[in-house]
Amino acid sequence: MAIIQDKMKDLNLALQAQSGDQSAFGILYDAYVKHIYDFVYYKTLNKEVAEDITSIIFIKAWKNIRQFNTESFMAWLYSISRNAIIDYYRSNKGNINIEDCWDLADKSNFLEKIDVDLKIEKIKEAMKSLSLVERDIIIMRFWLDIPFKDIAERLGKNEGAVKMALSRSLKNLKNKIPLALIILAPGIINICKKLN
Amino acid sequence: MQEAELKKILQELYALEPDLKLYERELLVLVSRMQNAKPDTKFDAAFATRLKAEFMQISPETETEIESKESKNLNSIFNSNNMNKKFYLALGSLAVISVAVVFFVKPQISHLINPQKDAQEINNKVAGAGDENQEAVRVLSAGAFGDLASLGTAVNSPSEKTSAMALSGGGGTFAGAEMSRVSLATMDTAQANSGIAVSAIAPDMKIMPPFYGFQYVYKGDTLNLTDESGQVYRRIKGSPTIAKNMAGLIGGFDFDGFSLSAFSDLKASNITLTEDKNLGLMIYFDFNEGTININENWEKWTTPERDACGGDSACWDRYRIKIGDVPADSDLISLADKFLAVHTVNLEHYGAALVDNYWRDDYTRTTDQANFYIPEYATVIYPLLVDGKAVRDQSGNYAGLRVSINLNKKVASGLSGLVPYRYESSKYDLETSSDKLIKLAENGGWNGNYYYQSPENTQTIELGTPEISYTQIYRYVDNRNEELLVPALIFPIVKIPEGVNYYGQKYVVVPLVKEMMNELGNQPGIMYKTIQAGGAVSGSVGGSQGMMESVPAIAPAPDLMR
Repeated sequence: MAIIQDKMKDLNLALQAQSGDQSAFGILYDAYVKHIYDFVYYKTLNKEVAEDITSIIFIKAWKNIRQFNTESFMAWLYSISRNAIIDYYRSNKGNINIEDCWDLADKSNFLEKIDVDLKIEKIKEAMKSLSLVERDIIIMRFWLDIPFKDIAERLGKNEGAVKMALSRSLKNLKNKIPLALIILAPGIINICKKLN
Repeated sequence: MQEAELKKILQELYALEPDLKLYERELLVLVSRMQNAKPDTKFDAAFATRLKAEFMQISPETETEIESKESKNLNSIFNSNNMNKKFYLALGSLAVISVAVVFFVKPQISHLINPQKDAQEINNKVAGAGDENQEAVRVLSAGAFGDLASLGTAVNSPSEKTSAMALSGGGGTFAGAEMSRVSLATMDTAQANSGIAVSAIAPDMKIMPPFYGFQYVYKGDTLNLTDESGQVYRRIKGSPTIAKNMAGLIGGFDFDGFSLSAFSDLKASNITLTEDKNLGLMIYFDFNEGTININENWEKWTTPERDACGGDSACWDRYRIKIGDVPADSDLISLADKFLAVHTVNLEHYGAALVDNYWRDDYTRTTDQANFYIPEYATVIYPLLVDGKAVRDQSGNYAGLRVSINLNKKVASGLSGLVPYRYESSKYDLETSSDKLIKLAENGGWNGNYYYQSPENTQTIELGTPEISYTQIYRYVDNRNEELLVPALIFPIVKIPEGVNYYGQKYVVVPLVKEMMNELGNQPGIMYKTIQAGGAVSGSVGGSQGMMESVPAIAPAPDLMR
């Protein structure tokens, strides 16, 4: 379910939280915990990992609430989330430049671990060709139902750039994945699950 | 997500890359497959409860801690010394006394501390002459708060400092000195937030409901507004005298060899006191903002049986708040009343209490009520009264003193929004044209509205007769966050079409100050692009139907958040 923010209310609550009002932050938490968890889950595809990272995100947000100084609490929370996911993968997979589970492959030797066929490999390769931001846009628009303008805010980009990135991502995917091979779901998800 | 919705997304993309349309069929299949691939996230409400309990036992970093990270010199000074406990005790006592004077001028509040023999003497020393005798409202000349026009379109942008964050602005925007960076982007978002309803189904369902647009339509009585001018209020915050005197009083303390004598122009910014007892409270004073917040002293609010759950989700689930655990509104208000009475909080300037039941809308809508996450705290609001009117925020919700009720323990355990009733007022011209005001309301008022591009999917939201009140807004001026109370019309939403899930604002707020409203009505520079058949794009100025186009957005949050 998409979240329709009441930005004014969020800011009011964030201001109160900054002045030490714990319950104000609690209200923000209640409003966004599922949304953030879902986002993390889509990037990790593992319940335990998603819960761990969600914990890190909200603890960081609360501890650093006095450093919140942007116009959107949700955007700020997303920036913490993205960094937390990146940190998680980097710290758990060595110094490889891994942004989320979709990037796992090159040095993880996953082909030996799972029963993968040619089709899945092609799709995985196609998804891998997308940048982290492009994958985030796809997740936010198609799985989290977030409007373009809100995605733009969360990613610190303008709306046109977000649409352009999605256009190119889809074009890219379309070119790399012949229609007959578009079987995205289970294969990709299994790959990530087995690597977590 | 339905095919119509997918097509809508693609239409937006075609506007930028028309050649994409050549592959529409493939793209639809591709995106549909992505939709079908959407995994069940297995969100666990017990986990949410557990996490909240965990992080609420952590205190946020204080400004001092933040600054100390940035200043190694200061860091080393403070880390190398064990502060004298007497310092805290003395500071705490003095702070409470001074705050009692500054914020309430009510001797009853001093019961929060142990009475001191020389309390009055210290009190006078801290407060300084004249502070306790300030009038509640100081009347200034007309237009004394400067040009308010910018509040009608945008607000002050957040600056580098936390305190710079400000709310305000027409169209629900946040902007200010650097408004070009933020204004249109935030307006766009705020409008979308205010008027659009998207998903009306449980989170675990994969298919999106119809995508509605909304049109506000006024159905109330004829308006007869005769006041051509009215007062705008600005809250007087803190007291420089007290802040300085507080620092002066501790200047002579010796912190194991470290002395404050080498520092100059010191003033106290904030202080936190805690009750060292079971179910004790934590009282936070902000001398700059002039606010008091009370929270649970988390060390004294443990729930051993729940804390022992460890990783047992079922155990955590047992302690999750169920709908039957939530007391009736009247009981919640009784708990809040009792809390305020025990702590002798002065309610002279606050109205009748009501419960903020924001979560109940979602609870009513969800198809999985058993697993719905019910907040562990309820909030009772005592609206701030000015000229006998209940003050609202920019979304029309009541603003004022908020009391938190811990639903696990069934006791009130905190408050926020407690401020001294000290204001300046200044007269400004007000709009009296009912046609103009209603038109602005039908455009969504201060928070704006968002029009979906397909008129056949637009739903009508009916607005009732407004009440005249004050809206609390913030303006960032001269490195300070000003709190203004501006006359406004508060239009209630009285009817939503049956079967339509509307997640937007519950009130439409239209400011009455002429110079603000003019800006709100003009909405300069807001371009909507209407996507036409064939992918052509046309432009029109604010208020027309269509999708808003590309706008600048905020800068990414700093890396220090890692």
